[in-house]
Amino acid sequence: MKIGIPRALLYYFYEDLWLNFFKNINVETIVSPETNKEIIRKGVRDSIDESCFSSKIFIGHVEYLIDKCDMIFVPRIENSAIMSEYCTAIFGLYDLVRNTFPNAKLLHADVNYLLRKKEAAAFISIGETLNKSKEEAEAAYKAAVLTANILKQDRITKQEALLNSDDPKILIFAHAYNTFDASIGKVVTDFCAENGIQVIYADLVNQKPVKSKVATTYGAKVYWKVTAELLAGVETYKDRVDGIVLISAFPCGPDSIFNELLIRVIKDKPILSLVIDEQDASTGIQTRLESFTDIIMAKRRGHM
Amino acid sequence: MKKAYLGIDIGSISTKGVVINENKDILASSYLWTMGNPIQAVKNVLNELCEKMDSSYTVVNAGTTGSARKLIGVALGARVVKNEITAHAVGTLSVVPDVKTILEIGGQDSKIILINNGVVMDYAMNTLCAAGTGSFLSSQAKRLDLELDSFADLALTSNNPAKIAARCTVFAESDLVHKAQIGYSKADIVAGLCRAVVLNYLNNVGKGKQIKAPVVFQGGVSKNAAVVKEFEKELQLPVHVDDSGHLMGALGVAVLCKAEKEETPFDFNITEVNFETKGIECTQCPNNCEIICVLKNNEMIDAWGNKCERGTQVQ
Repeated sequence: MKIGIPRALLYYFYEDLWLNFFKNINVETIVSPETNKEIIRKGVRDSIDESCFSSKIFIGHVEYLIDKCDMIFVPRIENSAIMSEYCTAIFGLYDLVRNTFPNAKLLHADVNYLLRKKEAAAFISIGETLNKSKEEAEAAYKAAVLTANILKQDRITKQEALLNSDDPKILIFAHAYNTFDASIGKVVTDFCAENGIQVIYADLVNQKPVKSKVATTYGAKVYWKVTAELLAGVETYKDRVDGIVLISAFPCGPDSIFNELLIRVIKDKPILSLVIDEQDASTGIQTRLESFTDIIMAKRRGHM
Repeated sequence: MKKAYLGIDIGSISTKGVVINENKDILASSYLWTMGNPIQAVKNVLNELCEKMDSSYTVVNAGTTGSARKLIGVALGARVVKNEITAHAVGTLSVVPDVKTILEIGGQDSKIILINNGVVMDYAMNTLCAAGTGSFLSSQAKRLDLELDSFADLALTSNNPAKIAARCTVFAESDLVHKAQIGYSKADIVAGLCRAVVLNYLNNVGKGKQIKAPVVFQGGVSKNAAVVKEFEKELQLPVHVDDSGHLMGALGVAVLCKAEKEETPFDFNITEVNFETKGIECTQCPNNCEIICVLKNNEMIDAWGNKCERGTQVQ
């Protein structure tokens, strides 16, 4: 039994949890490769026009996996707690994939705290589908959660060290599935690496200490889970970076509201907003990144 | 030997060249259409500059900016290859040292640059679409069978500009047809278009930005007096258009060349050299990177565009 995992959307939030869970229950996994033009081409071809670019990429990854595994893991995750929602593009994924590829075998479970369908129960039901006992699946899930948390804290600590360096730093405000996708955010992170700029990720953050600050600044009811995390990152790190780069995949509902809000709220930091879609326009992005870098460097020096 | 510095700005529509001396005075300038062939356009600009320039000067550094900056930078062996935003800011600051806002509408790009105490504080550029830029105005002029020069003159005669949707070029175009069909005069429609360009710019690129005087307006569209008038009306501020406004990008890189510590003397004979470019699609992996190769007298001098090592085999 081999489970295929599309390297897109939810994968970037749950990589550690998922891979460790399957490892703990001794089930082999295959993760699709980094997004390439072929994956994009297929994803765009099989998606409706209105889908966001990231969802189109997801469909391309599913298609890549179809003949390479026994089942493809596409859970339906609506939220991670009450008032901590994923966007419709994400919780509609299972149904979208099921209808786009009617013959694909999907491994799936529901997570929806409004309906009392908790994450732990979802993993137990996945275990059941894969002929694992409830006890085994539950233990595997708990251990995976623990590992994922340790890894996240580790990254936050490492990021903290970067924040103390004297290098120029930019804060990336983007959904992880955009930040780390080879066809979206990698253009930005590669550029930073080549130019000696440290990248700080807004979603690598402990939300609790700034929760009330975020609520008073951006509204108490930021009910999108990922956006709330990103805003916590902005509140935590903004004074310690030289600029903020917003990366959005076109069209994105949450970003269309909160990127705009962020630009209006933050007045004292240069902000670069990049919107990326399936039209390959890397030259334009290059120009914007270069001039943005010139600005933060000039500000550091105090003159042009 | 008197030292001079060369700056070339290769845009989508036009190519500009400037030679300055050590006092940043313009010794020679040239402004020609790119016509889809940046290399030929640059050669023509260089020939013109060479003719106009006092032969007692020697160009000790050259620089490029604009959308073909990399290609031309490689071909000319430029010391400075700089993006348009920085180049425009530096160029404008050398002419108007107290400038606070630069509005720029070019052939495909439009941008706003905010400056405080000589430092770029913020800027914005049009996003995915080229609505309301110069190419939009020139295609509409063609549709109305007008020369771009008479376009502005005609617009200025209108007292009642037609309301034309400013958000998107496609809607603007259908609006324009509609206004013509219901009987608006050409002057009112043309004036409406100029107004639409300004509103589109302020609502998209200039959105949320504090525009403070002195305001300098640049780019090809700044030559259109009707658009300038609409900007002044909308901003309630005087808008300066410099005669050499279209040269600011080129001037900017020339100034940056002057600031360079090292020198790479530039030879105008480069116009005799045969440059060729080739675009190849790499087929080694599903990324199909588009690789650009630059050949100087049939010898490859540079190539770029590949995301990984495999691309070098193709070159």
